Amino acid sequence: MRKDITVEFWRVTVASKVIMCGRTACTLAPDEVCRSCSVRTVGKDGTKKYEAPQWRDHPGDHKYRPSYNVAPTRFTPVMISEHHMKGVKREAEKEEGEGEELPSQLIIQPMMWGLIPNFYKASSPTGHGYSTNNCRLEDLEEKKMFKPSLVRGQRCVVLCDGFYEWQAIKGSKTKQPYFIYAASQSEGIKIWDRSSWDTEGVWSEEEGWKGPQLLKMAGLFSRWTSSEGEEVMSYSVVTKAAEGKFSDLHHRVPAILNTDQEVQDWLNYGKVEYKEALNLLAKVKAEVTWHPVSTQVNNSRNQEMDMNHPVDPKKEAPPSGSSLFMANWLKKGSGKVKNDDDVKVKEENKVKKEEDDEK
Amino acid sequence: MFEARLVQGNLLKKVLDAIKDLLNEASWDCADSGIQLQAMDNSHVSLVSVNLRAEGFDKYRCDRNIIMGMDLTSMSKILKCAANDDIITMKAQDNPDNVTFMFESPSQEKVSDYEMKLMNLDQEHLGIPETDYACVIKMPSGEFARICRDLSQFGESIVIACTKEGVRFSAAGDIGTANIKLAQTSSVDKEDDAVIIDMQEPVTLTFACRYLNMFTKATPLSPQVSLSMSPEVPLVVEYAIGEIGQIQYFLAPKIDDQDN
Repeated sequence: MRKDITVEFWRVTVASKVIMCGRTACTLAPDEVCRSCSVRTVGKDGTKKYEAPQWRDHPGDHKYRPSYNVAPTRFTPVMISEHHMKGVKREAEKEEGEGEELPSQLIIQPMMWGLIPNFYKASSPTGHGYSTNNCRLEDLEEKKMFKPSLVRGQRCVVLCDGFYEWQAIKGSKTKQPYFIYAASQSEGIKIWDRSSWDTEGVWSEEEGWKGPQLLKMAGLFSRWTSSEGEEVMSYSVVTKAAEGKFSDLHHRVPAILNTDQEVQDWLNYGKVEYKEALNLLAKVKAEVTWHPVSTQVNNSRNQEMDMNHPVDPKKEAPPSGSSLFMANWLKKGSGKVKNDDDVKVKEENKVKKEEDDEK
Repeated sequence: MFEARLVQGNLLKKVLDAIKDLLNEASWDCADSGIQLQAMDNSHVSLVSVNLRAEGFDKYRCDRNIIMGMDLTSMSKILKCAANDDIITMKAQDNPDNVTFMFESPSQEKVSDYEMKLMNLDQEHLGIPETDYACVIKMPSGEFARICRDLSQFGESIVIACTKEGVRFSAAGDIGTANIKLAQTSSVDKEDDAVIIDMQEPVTLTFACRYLNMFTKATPLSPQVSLSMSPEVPLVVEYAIGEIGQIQYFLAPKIDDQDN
């Protein structure tokens, strides 16, 4: 009920700005992020092995810092085709004549969440005032903000453990946050619990990555240069209408790439034209699972490690000492409500009834 | 039919600025005597009480008591569309689904209407216990806002200690400690600048800066603020809303959760 009214209100009166995916968890270290994206390759001598994409730091002082509670404007790992980097020859092209097609090489580098529009001129990458954390798949081609990235093939895959979404609860003032992550986890692996997978054999060239499966969200990126000549790369997460069970939770969902092939097709802008790539995103189904988490995550300043742990929402967080204090104090005041006729009447009735009962 | 017209429309704008950071949504109780809002913040540590008296409005009519649940973020967005010198009128039917805000420019040349859908909120009536306070400190509201802002750089909480000599605000944290002492004003030239302490017994209590800083969003409403304290009861921070009412913030003292 409440949700409907709110949504309706936003639509009618204020703006078409609907909050979508705006919080993630990225807790893996750079080397782990790379290894988790390993693909199986066949060397020239026919040996098969797993190869992890290369890590590249963002120029300047923009470091990726793993976090359980990542909000826009933070730098997080994003996978792109190496052809976006100057001076990198295209390996796959060289090999093409030899019959075997190799997947094009990928690199992973941190970029800022929230695409900086190319037309924005300023010394600082933040403060352009546009909401660019997400872009809607439906109208990507019409948006001046995102069209240039689309045309230039600046497609990326945003890597994260999972993202958070808030579900409005009927008749409640608070929203319940959920942590949403890839459904395809190996048995025994809890993506929110490092101790369930962080062992010596978690990665090897022979067997690949045995840790948690990261969520791979389709994104667009831009390369922006500040008025002071600083280069900042930034991204936006593509979202689409939610389908299936997830739509009970929220009406929008990031476009999630489930297979290596989907990832390759989305990133290989030389081979897959943008129209075809958008068709691909329209088809992909989010293979995700989720659990409720603590409302601690609501504040992006909270960075505790248990942010994405499952909680039982029925068992409310124990009230703080201060809130108990407040509740006890207010109990003393019940029956002395001032200035409200309705309540006064009710209270009087109650007193009368109590008197009657005593008789 | 409910209708309330306020020539000084910017008072209502300021009231919204004073509560919207603390409350996401709240119910406005409209009765013959005036408009009231009482709500606790999400963490249930503080309580806000707004009271606008019927006499304070330039025109006030309320045939039946109504409760209007509003999304305060949305209401604030609408009120942002009113100019500071606009006359604001709130209107609703007896069993309203909507509330209308009408803004008139002083010259009456521009009239805007904004209609907002109301929400069904679970409303618990909060009884505020009548309390005699051991200390009541009246001080310039700007000074209080400044003190809260300055001290919140040092730590998460502020200690307010009131003695007959004056009132001391202090904070401690990683970077060091901070102490601000205000003495009672001896000669009052301007009433708004005075610090007046009415003390029965000394009180020292600790409060979370975060909340105090949200309360000081009400500073533009009034040149003076009053802080009322007693041991074992919440602090009351009160601002007058022009001539028409007042806003009170109740805040539970900081309690170490481990002790409980």
